[in-house]
Amino acid sequence: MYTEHASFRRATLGAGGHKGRRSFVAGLVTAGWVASGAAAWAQEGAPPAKAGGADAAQAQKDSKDSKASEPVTPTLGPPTPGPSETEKELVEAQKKAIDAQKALEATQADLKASLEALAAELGAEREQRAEEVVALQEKLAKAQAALKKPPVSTAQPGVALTGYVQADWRIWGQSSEDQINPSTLAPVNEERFMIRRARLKTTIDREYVAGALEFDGNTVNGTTARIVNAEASFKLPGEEGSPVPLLMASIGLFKIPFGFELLQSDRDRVFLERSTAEQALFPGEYDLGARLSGGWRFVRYAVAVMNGDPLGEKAYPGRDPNAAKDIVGRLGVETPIVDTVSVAAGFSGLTGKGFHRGTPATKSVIQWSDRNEDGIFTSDEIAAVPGSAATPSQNFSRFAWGADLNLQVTIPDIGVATAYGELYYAKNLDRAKVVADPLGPLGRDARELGFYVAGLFEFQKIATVGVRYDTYNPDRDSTNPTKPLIPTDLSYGTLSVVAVVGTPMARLQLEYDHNTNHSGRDLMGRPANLKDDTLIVRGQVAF
Amino acid sequence: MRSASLFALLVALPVGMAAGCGGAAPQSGITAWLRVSNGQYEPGALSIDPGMMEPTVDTITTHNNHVFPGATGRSITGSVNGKAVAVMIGLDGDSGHWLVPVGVPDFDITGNFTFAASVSYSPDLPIGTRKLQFRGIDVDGNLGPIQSLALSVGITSPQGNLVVQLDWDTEADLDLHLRIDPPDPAAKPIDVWNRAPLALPPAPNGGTYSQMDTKAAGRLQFDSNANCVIDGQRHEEVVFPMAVPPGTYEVRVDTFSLCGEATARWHVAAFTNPAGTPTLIQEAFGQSQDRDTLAAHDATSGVLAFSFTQP
Repeated sequence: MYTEHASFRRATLGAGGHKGRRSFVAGLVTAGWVASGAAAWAQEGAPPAKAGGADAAQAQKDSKDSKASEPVTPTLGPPTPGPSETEKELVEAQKKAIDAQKALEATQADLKASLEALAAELGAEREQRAEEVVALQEKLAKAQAALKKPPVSTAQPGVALTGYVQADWRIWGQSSEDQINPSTLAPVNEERFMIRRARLKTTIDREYVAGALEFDGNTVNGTTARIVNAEASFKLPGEEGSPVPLLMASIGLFKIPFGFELLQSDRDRVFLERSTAEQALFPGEYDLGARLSGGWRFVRYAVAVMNGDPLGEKAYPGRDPNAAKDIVGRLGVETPIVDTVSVAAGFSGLTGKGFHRGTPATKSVIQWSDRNEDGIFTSDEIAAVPGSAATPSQNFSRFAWGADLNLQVTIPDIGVATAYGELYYAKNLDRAKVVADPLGPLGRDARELGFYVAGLFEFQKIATVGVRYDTYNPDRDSTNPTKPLIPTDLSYGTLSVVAVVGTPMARLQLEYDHNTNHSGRDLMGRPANLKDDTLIVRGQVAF
Repeated sequence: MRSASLFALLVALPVGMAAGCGGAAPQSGITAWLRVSNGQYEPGALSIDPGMMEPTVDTITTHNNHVFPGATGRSITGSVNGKAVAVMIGLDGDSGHWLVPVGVPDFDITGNFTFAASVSYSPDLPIGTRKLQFRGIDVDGNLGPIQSLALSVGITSPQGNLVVQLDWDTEADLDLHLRIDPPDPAAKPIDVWNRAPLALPPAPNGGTYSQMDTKAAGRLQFDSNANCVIDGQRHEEVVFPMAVPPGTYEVRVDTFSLCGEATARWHVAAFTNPAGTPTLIQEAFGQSQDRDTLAAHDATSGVLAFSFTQP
């Protein structure tokens, strides 16, 4: 029996190979061996009922062994005296030993079956693990290959490459017409496909140094490629986990730190364009200068010294015709109120000098005008106009104040609701819409006022709907009777409704804009609203 | 090595600064009331200290001492003592003055030299009388006594019983359109614009007007920056030198082309000025945008600035 257990144990060990399993099997075998040994001991070691001593016990044992090993044959003849008590006990013990033997064999069979099942299970597990190892090796090989040849290589660590494309289809433009502007020869039609923005940005963000370089391509006025953001920064990191540095000093071309929507990323903004007031006061959003910015806990700040000629300005975009610089900044807070509500708010200000362009000198000229339309020159049909000296360029003061508020409420399992708005109050700052110049023919300051309010609801980060109303008055004094401006009401207004499917990484936007203005003419030639509603669909993909 | 660089910097800095201190003033002089095309501008009013007895400015010659703001190309010549190397010219009250080198020897005054200057006057020159001052300066920088020429600065507003004037600020092509609607409902309105510059109805029976008629009629004087041929005038006016037709006058500003400019701010006014003293009837201001150029540019095109009635 021991030999049988030993051979089984060897077989198990040979088939195994895993140390744990081997120990387990060895344990089972040992337990089986101990159990069988105990049974054998119970069979062999049962004490004699009446033992006279060690010799008697030995004799009794020898006798039992010999009898147990010999078959019992019935004998004929005179009845023999019945078995003695000792013999009866021996028979009884023998029966018990046989029963114990059978029980032991049964136990052995069970153990064997269990071991075989265990072996089968271990084999299956081994095969599964082998397959997993192969799969992991394949993944490792792929990862190593990817590390050997990264998609974009950089000279320094901490470099990121991002970008996005915004492709528009202006489905409907009420003021579009299949004509050209006779003055500029530019097409009047705006119902077209257009790449509104195609941005590629590289940033580096290390512990004490940061930088950005961004290029923009678009087809707004034909194919254009230009630089929009290039800045070098030195910074002091903020507290652990803070999204902004404690202090960052930057120089270069960056967004003017004024208000909320101006600094909001074009990629994240749900509405296709910024409000009219922003487009008039800060056209192009980017300007050249130096900036200090940062934050501490919930406080956010930025102050910059800038040229004052943003990239979208009509007169000198990206240049600076005067030595005076604009000083602009924002101070605000950004913090959650409770778990589901957060608020961001701030005040902004700007002060600087605008530029009134001088005019060159002219020469004296004469002009013939065929007044009586007879095609013949007569002396009274000429006009002589003397030349004029050049007029010098001059600077004028301008400023702006702004306030912004953004409230965001997270509704669990449904989405996020956002309400926000902004107010602009400025003097002589319009640089794109109705360009302010108090030193021009008007001869007085232009006081601008604009605001917008907007609401957004984002469903499960999949779909967003929003509505925004903005208005802008480039000259609040246009009704001044001593300096009447034509038209007397210069306000622009836009009501925008937008629906978005997707996230900023990939989304489809549909926006309807109802625009009011004063670009049309009534029957008398007076300024009137020009119908200019638009319907635009935009596809955006970012990486 | 590092200390050597620092030393070089310390040496170069004052040398550079000294070099920057020398030479002529960098300003163009365009902010001054007086501009001299062949002179060097020097900031600061012309000194009025007594100076030396020589070099003297002996003669000053000009064709016309009545000037108007913005007048250009006015010639001033003269003769200066032989010791002078240049003549300083300035206008009293001005922010700067000019240095004009002397020219060839003066054959009229033995030993003297001539000087000649082509001067312009700023459009911002105040109205009134002013003194044009001259001082000779010798090679050692000594200034001679002041010589003055009195100037009369006047305005050049067009005179007439009715003037409608448009002016604007950039080199765009804007046009003044005037429509006169006679009181008689049967009469046709008269359009005055660059293609019909005379304020006269069509001549009866297909005839033509006499020169006397056309001279007496109101007319558009000039079409400035026509077709973006830039003349720099940036103003147009309709002048009625004599009789003003009764009726309702509609004044329009038509933006023919911005000529590449971003915008054009304009001012239009109607006034009477029969004797050089303008009396305003009405005025308006506006700003032309790109969209304004899309009109048909006919007689009644343009934004209506204002209207008024003449009895």
